[in-house]
Amino acid sequence: MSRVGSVFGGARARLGWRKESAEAKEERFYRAGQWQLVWWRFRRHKLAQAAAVVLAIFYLIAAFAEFVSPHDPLYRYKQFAACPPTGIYIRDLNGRFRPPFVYQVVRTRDPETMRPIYKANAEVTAPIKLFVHGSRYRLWGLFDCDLHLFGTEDPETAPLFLLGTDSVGRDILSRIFFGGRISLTVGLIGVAISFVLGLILGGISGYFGGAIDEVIQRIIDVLISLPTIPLWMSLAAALPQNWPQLRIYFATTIILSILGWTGLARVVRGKLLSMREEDFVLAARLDGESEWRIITSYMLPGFASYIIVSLTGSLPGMILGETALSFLGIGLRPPTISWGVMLQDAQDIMAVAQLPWVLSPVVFVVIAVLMFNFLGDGLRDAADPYAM
Amino acid sequence: MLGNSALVEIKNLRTYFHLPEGTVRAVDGVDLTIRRGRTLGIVGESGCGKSVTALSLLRLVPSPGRIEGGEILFYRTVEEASASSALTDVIDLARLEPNGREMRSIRGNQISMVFQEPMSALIPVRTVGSQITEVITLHQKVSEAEAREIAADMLARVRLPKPRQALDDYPFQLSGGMRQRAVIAMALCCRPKLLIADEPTTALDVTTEAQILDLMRELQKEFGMAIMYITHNLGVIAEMAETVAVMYLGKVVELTDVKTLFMSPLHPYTRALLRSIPQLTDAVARGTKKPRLQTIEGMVPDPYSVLPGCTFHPRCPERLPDLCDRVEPGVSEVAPGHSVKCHLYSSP
Amino acid sequence: MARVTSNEAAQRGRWRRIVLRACAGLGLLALAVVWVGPQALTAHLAGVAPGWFAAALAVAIAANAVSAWRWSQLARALDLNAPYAPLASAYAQGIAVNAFLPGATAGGDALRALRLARLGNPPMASYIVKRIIRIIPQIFLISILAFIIIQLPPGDYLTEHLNRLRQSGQHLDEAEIRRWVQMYGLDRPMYEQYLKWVGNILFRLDFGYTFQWNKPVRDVIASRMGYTFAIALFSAVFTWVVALPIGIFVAVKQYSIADYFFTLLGFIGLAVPGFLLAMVVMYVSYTQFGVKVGGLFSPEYQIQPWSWAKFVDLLGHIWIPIVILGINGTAGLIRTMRATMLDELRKQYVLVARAKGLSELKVLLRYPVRIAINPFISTIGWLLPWFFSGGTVVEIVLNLPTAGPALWRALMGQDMYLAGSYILISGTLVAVGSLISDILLAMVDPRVRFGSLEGQ
Ligand SMILES: Nc1ncnc2c1ncn2[C@@H]1O[C@H](COP(=O)(O)OP(=O)(O)O)[C@@H](O)[C@H]1O
Ligand code: SF4
Ligand SMILES: [Mg+2]
Repeated sequence: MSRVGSVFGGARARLGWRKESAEAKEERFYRAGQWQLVWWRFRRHKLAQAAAVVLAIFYLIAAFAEFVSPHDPLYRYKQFAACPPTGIYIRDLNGRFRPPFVYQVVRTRDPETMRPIYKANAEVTAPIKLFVHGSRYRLWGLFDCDLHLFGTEDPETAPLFLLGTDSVGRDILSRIFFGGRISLTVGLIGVAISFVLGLILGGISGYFGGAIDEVIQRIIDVLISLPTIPLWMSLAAALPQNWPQLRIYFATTIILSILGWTGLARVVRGKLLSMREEDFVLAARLDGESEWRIITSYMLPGFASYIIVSLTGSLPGMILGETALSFLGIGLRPPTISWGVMLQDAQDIMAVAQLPWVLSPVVFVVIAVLMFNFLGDGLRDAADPYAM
Repeated sequence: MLGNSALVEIKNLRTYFHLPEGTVRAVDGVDLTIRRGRTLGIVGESGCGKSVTALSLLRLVPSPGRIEGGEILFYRTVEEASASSALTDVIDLARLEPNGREMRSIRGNQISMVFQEPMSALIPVRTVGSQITEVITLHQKVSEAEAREIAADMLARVRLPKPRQALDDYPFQLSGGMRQRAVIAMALCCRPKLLIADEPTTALDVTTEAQILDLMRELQKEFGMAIMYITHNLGVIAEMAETVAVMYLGKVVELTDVKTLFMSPLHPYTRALLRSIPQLTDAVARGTKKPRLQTIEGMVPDPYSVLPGCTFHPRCPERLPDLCDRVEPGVSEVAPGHSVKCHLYSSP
Repeated sequence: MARVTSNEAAQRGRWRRIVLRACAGLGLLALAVVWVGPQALTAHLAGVAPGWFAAALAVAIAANAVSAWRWSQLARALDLNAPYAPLASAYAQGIAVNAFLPGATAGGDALRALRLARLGNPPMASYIVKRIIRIIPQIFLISILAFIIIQLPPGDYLTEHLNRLRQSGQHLDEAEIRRWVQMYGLDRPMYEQYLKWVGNILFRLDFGYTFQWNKPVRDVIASRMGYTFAIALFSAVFTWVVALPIGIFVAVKQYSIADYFFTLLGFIGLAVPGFLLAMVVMYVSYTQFGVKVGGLFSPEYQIQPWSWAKFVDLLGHIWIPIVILGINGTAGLIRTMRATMLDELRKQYVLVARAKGLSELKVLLRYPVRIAINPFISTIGWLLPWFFSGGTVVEIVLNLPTAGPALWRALMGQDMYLAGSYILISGTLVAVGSLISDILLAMVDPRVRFGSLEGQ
C-alpha cells in the first residue's frame, strides 16, 4: 500500500515537474506576447522612432569617432587658429559644376585689430574625398589606421573645418565627435549605476518594509528635494585634482548617479509592495519557491518596462549634468574632450562674439537631450498606455 | 387645460456626430411631446440615443455632435404678466446659441437635469453647499445667505439627514444614495418646469433606487413639474412613466401610455424588449420547454452605417420581405395617443 | 447660573489678555527706543511733517485692509470659512511677523495659514502639525549631508589653507589659528565637530569661514541668497502666470494649431537647459543689439546705496534670469496642466456644471481648473529645487551677484564651508517650500486634509 503510494507519488512529482516546465514555456510565450505589444505600441510612435534612429547615429559616431572625424581632435593647426567654418562649393570660378570642393585658405591679419582673417584662395581647390588618408590613429587601441570617412588630401593648406576651429586651431567638429564619446556615455554608465543602486535599495525597501523602509524613504525624500547641480558641483569639486582622466570620468559618473537612483527605487518599492499581495506571488510562495526566485522570476519581469522608462527618463538630466559641470570646470578638465569641456571656451561672451561657432556643441547637447526626451515619451506610452 | 398642455415639443430632431470614421446619427428624426406636470419615459437599449436626445434639449451635445435639424419648442410661462392669466411664449431651443445668455438662463432654471453617475456629478474639492447655492444665486436674485437657506430647505425635502451639516460636507463624505439626493436637490432648487432624469438610479443598489424613485414621484406632485425619465430598465418605466417612448437607433419606434405598452405592445422591437425582461411567471413556468429569457436576436448594427428601409429589419422576426429592407415605415396612429413606426400597422 | 460664571470668567480672561498684550507691546516699544537711542529718535521724529505722517499711516492702513479683503475673498473662493474681521487681524499679524522675523514671507504665511486653519477646519491643523513634524528629520539629514560635503576633500581644509598661505609667504598669527581650531572643534572627533558646526549655526547663525573671501560665510551668502531666492520666486510666479492660461487654453482647444505649437515649444523648452539658453541669449543680444546682458545692475549702480533709480535699473536686468529660469518650468507645467485639464474636462461634473447654466468661463474656472490647479501648488515644492539647481549655472553664466557664482568660486578653491552652507540653506529652503506647498494643497484640496486624518 505504502509502496504503491510512493510510486504514485513519484510519478506525480515527475508529472508535476513536467507540467511546471510546460507552464514556464507558456509563461515565456505570454511574456513574449507582452513585449510584442510594447513593441507594437512603440512602432506607432513615429517621433520616438525617429529619435531612436538619431540617437543610434550619435552613438555610432561616438564609437567610431577616430574614423568619422576628419581631423585629430587634439592637433592644433597653428596657421588656422580661430578659423570660421569652411565653405563648401560645387561651382568653381568658371561657373562649372564639380563634385564638392573647398578652396585653399590663406591667413591675413586685420591691420588694426591684428586679428587673423581667413580668405579663400580661388586659384587652388581641393576636392572633398571619402576615405582619405590623414592623421594616424589606433581605433579602440587595437587597429592602426589612417583612414578618415571624409576630408581633404592636404589639410595643412586646404583644410575642411565644417564647424570651424577653436582659438588654438583645433577642428571643432572632430572635437564634438570625440566629445560625444564622453558626454553620451557618462549618462549611460551613470544610469547603469543608478539602476543597480535603485534596484537594490528599492528592493530592500519594498521587500523588507518596516524601519529599513522608513529610513530609505526619508533619505530619498531628502535627496529628491536637494538641488541637483549644486550638490553635483560640491561633490565634483571635492575630487582630488591630481587624479588621472579616466578615474575622474568614473568618479563623475558615480556622482551623477548619486541622485539618479531615487526615482527607480521608488518605482521598484511601490511595485514590490503592490505585487507582494498579488495572487500569483502567493501561489508561488505556497508552491515553496524560494524568495529569491519569486523576486527574480515572478516580480521583476512584471515591472521591467517601468524600469526601462524610468532609466531613459534620467539620461537627459545626466547628460546635462556632465555638460554643466565640465562647463564650469569642476567635472572633467582638458585634455579630456567632452561637450561641456568644449563649452568652457564659450564662457567669455567677448570670445563668443569673435568665434560664435564655438557654441556649436550647444546644438548637439540640445539635440541629444531632445531625442532622449522623445524616446522616453515613446517608451513610456508603449510600456504603460495608462500612465500619464 | 394648463396641466395637460404641452411644455416641450420636439419635432423631427436630428443630432449627428461627425467623426473621422463616419457620421453617427445618434438622434435621427425624433418627435416627442412633454406635457406639463406629466412624466414621459424614454426606454431603449444603451446607445440608442436617449442621452443625446436629452442633451440636445439642453443644448449640451458634446463637441463633434451637432443638431442638424428639427425644432425643440419650449412653451415658457411668462411670470411678469398678471398672475391670473399666465402667458406662455414659444421658443425654439434648437435655434438658440448653445452657450448664449438665453439658453443659459433656461438651463438649471426652467429645465434641469440629473445625470447617471452620482459619484462624479459633484466635484470633490468643493462643498456640497457651494455647488448647490451656485445654481440658486445664478438664477435667482437672492443673497448668499438666502441661497444657503433655500439649499438647506431643499436638502431637507430630498430627506437628507442633517441637511445643514451636509451643506458644509464634501461630496466624498456622503454615500452614493445621499449624493444622488443632493444632486436631485441641486436640480430642483430653482423649481424647474422640466426635470430630465437620465438613468439617475442605474448606479445605485435596488433599495436606494426604490427610495429615490419614490422621492422623485413625491417631489413631482409637490412641485408640479414635468419629468423626462430616461432608462433602459422597463421595470422602472412601469413605476415612473405615464407616457412611454421606445427608442431604437436614434428613432422613436413606438409611443403610447404605459399601460398599453405593457398590455398590448405593437412594435416588434417593443415586444422583443418586453420578452427579454425576467418575470415571476417565468420562474413558475420553469421546467416547461419555453425558454425563460429571450434575448433579441442579432446585434445592434454599427453606428456609422445608414440602413435602408426600417432600421430594425436585420433583427426583426416579422419583417415583410421586399418592403422592410427598402422602404422606411411612416408613423401610424393606431389608436388615440398610440403611434407605431412599422409597416405592419401602416394603413394603405 | 454656571453659564453666567463661565461667561464672566471668559470676560475676565479676555481683559487680562488684553492688558498683558498691551504691557508686552509697550515693553517691546521701550526696548526698541532704548536700542535706537532716544535722542536719535526724537531728532528723527522732529523732522517728520505730521500731516504727511498721518497720510502715510492712513494709506498704509487702507492698503492693509484692502489686501486683507482680497485675501479673504481668495480664501472664500477656496471654500474656506473666512469671515473678514478675524482675517484682517490675522493679516496684520502676518505682516508684522514678516517684518520682524527673518525668512522672507514664510513666517507670516505660516501664521496666516494656521489662523485660517483654526477658523475653519480642524483636520487642517492636525495636518499642518504632522507635516511640520516630518520636516525635522528631513533637515537633520540635509545637515548631515552638508557636513559630509564639508569634510569631503582629502586633508583638513584649514591645514591646507594654512599651507597655501604659508607658501605665498603670508604672515600667520598663531593665536588666530588656535582660535579657529577651537571655534570649529577641529581637534575634536568628527561627531563633536558636527555638533559644534550645527550649534554655531543654530545659536549664532555662524556658518563657518570662507578663506576664499576671507569673511564669514554668512556675510558672503546672506545678501546673495536673498537675490537667488527672489529670482527663484519671481521665476515661479512667471511660470505660473504664463503656464496657467496657456495650459487651460491648450487643453480646451485640444488638437488645434495652438495646441501643437505649444506642445512643440514645450518639448524644446524642456530640453534646452537654462544655462545654454542664457549663453545663446547673451550672444544674440551682444552681437545683434550690442547689449551686454549680465549682472543685476548697470555698472554705475553696482555699489550705490538703494534708490528708486537703482531699483528701476534692477528691474531692467532681473527679468532676463527670471525668464530664462522660468522657461523650463513653464514648459513642464504647461504639459502637466494640459494633461490634468484633459482628464478633468471629461468628468461628469463639468457637464453637470454646464447644465446648471453657468457660463463656459465659470464652468472652467470653478470645476476642471479648480482641480488642475493642484499640480501648480505642488510645484512650489519642486520648482524651488529646480530653480536652485538650474539657476546656479544660469547665475554663473549671467554673472549675477547671487549665491550660485559664490558657490562656484568657493568650489574652485575647494572652500567647502561655503559649499556646505549653500547645500544646507538651499536644502532647508526647499524643504520649507515643499512644506508650504503641502499645506496650501491641503487648504485647496479637502481630500488631502481629510486623507491625512483617515490615515491612508
Ligand atoms: N461624444 C460622443 N462622440 C461620439 N459619439 C457619441 C458621443 N456621445 C454619444 N455618441 C453616440 O451617440 C449614440 C447614442 O448615444 P447615447 O445617447 O449616449 O445612448 P444612450 O441611449 O445609451 O444614452 C451612440 O451610438 C454613441 O456612439
Ligand atoms: S417595419 Fe418591418 S422590419 Fe421594421 S419593425 Fe416593422 S416589421 Fe419589423
Ligand atoms: Mg445614456
